[in-house]
Amino acid sequence: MSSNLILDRKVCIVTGASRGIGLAIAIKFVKEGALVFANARNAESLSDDLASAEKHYPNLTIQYYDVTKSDEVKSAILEVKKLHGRIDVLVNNAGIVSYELVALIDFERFHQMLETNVVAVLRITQLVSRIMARQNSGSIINISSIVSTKGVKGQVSYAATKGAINAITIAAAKEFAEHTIRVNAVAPGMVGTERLLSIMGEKFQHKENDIGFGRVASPEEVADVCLFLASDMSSFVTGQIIGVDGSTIM
Amino acid sequence: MISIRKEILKVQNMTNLERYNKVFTDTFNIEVSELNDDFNTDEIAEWDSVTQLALVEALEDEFEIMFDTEDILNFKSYTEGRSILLKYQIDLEE
Repeated sequence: MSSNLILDRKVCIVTGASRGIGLAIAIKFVKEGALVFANARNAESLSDDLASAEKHYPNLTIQYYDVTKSDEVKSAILEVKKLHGRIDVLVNNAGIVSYELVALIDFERFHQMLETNVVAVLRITQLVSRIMARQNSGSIINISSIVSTKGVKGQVSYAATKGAINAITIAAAKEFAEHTIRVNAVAPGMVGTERLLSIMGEKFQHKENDIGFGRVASPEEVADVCLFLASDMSSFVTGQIIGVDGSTIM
Repeated sequence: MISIRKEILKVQNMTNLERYNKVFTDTFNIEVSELNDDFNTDEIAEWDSVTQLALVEALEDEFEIMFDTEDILNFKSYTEGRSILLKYQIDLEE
């Protein structure tokens, strides 16, 4: 019996799924039939939303690991491989964001951000791509940012990490093409996550005027693009940086 | 002629050493008697980077482990492979 679900039985890993865009992606995927492994750093960082999603959706499993710790990452990937023998989709969403002028960049924090936003992405991509190469298929989706392509005052360090993500995406797409592994990035503009909305009133309200659509994106709108990239509907799409920004002027 | 193994062996009643050896004999299409301390990348022309990854893949599937990158790079001989597996609690002497 065929299914109408877009990601029917696809094995998907979503990092940083406790809240915001990652949570929206995990829920969107599981609703479309995927077997989702949703990462949270630890039990303390687990959101009520993800905890209740796990209870509500039998095919959503929470995995605790710090993406910057290679042993933890490897154990998690191995667990998925042992359970299902394959990984169809990896969404590299976990990341740190920062807002500061160049003169105020804290380099200790910058290194931490590089470790999470760039090194960890490469590490998990290395492990997962080895499994995807054996099955000769897979989709890797990296969450980038509009600041990586358009730049913004006050986010130079963050933009540097997301620029690296774009470069990884384009280069990895070429390297993995022979194994039919697709690699794409989604570059959201301002997204109405709880984190952003909590600070938007103070710092960013005037920024909504810079968005052609006159509003921020919802996390679900970003998740929709990820759904497309995870699905067979994008079977010939690779090496792309896809903006989800409602015509934002940076 | 090198054959790239795709299926997992997991043959019951085989020792870890027998499973390890079978990965080699299947991958290189050789007899188990040919496996010794001299079976390494310097001596075996067929042991190239493609075979290296095939060996790693087969061992990972067989023993349900994932090699660290440094172990993939250091896996240059039949003997070295045994030491590497020990790191993953796969004792071939058992």
